Amino acid sequence: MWAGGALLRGRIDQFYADRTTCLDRVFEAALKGGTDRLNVILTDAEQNAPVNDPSCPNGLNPSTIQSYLNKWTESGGFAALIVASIKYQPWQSPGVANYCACAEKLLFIYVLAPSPKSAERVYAHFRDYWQSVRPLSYVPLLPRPAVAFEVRAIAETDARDPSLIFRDDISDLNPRRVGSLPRVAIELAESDEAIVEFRLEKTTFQTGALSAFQQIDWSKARFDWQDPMALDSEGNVTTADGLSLVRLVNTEVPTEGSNAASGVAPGGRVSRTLRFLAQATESPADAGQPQLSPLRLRVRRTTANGKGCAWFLVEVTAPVREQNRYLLETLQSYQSTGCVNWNQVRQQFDFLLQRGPVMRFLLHIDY
Amino acid sequence: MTASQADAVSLTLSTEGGDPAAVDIYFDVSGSMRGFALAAAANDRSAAPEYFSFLNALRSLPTQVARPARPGAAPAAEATEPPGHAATFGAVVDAPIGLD
Repeated sequence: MWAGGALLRGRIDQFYADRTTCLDRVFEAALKGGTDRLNVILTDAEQNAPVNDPSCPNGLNPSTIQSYLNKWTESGGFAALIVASIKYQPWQSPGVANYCACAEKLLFIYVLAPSPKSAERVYAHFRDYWQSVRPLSYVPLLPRPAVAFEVRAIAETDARDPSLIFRDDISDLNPRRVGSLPRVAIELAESDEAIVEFRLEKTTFQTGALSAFQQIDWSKARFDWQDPMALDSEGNVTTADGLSLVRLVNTEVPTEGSNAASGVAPGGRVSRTLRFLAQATESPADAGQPQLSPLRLRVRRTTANGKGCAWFLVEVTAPVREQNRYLLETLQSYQSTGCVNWNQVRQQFDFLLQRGPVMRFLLHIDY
Repeated sequence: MTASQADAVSLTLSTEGGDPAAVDIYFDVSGSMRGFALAAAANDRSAAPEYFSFLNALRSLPTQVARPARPGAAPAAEATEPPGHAATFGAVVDAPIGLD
C-alpha cells in the first residue's frame, strides 16, 4: 500500500511507464562495453518482452539472453545470476497491475563480470547489505575455477640422448604474482618428436562462504583436458593454421607394464611441477583421485628444417550441466506459485550451462 | 613473446581474471517494476526493509567490488574504486547517469 506523497507517486508512475522489458538491448549494451567492465543488471523479468511486441523489435527469443551470456563467457568473462525472493505484498499498490498472484516474487540480478572474483564480490555485497532478503542465491553460470592447483609435466626422454628437455630459463613454474598462470617450456632436441605428459596432482576449489550452493563441489566434477590452443605473438588464442611448425597430438596413456610405459624412456622420466595460486591464502591440496586422466601429447616437428617456437594455452574444463537439476530445484523451492515460467528457466539452464575452464597453464615449445 | 609479454599473457588468460575497469548498473524501469519502486520509496519502511535497503546496496556497489572479498583482509595496494555508472532500461536503454 502506498503511504507516500502524491508528487512522488506521480513521478514514480511516470518513470516506470514502459510496458515492456527489452533485456536484449541491455545485454547488447553490456557486451559493447567489453569484458573488463562489471555489469549488474537488475530486473524482475525472467525472460524478455512478449513475442512480436511492437515496442521491442527483437522480441522474445527464448535463447536471446542465453546467447548474450554465452557471448560474454566466450569472450573470457564470467557470468552469474543472483536470485532474490522478496515479499510481493508491498509490491502491490492501487494502479499497479498484479503481475504475480503469489506471496513472493523473484528479482533477478544478472552479473556479467570480468572474473569470478568480481561476481562473488557483488554477491557478497548484496548478501551483507540486504540481510532482510532470504533466500538470496548466487548461481554461477560457469564453473568456479580452481583457486590453486599443481600439475606435473613429465618428459619421456632418454637421459643419454634426450629427445626433449625442459627450458627452465623460459619456464615460470611457480609464479610469484598471485593469479598468474604458470608456464612450462620444453624443447625438442635432436629428435623430430617427443612425448610430454601432464598429470593433475593437487587442486583446491572454493566451495564455501560465497556460494549459496555449497553442495556443489567442483572438485568432484568430471574434468576434461581441452586440445591445447595455439597463441599468436600477442598472446591471443588463434585458430590460424600453419602458425608454427610443430604439432601436438593427443596420445593414449599407456597402461602399466606395457612397452610404452616401461621401455620407451630408458633414461627415466624427467619432470617439473607447475603451481597456480589465485589467492595468497590458498594452497593446493591433495587432489585425491581426480577424475582426470593424464594429458599425453606427442610433440612433432612438421618439417625437418624449420626452427622456431610456439606458445599454447592448456586448459582443463568442467561441466556445469550436472548441477542443473539441483540448481533448478533450489530456485523452484523459493516460491510455489506460478510467477515464473519454469520451462523457460529450464531452457536457460540447459542451453547456457555447459562447460567452463577451471585450470589453465601456458606451454612453450622450442623446436 | 618476451618474458615480460609472457608475464602479461599469464595474467590476461588467468582463470582468476582481473578487477573491473568500471561498474555499470542497469535498472529495469518497466511497468512491472513500478510496484518495487513504490515499495522502496514508501514511508512504511517497516513493512518492506528489503526494498529500500536494496537501493542503498546498489549505490555503494562500486566501492565494495574494489575491496577484497575476504572480511578483514587488507586491500591491495593498487586497488582503486572503479568508476560507477547507472542506466535504466525498459523498451530502450537510457543514457548512463551517476550513481548519486
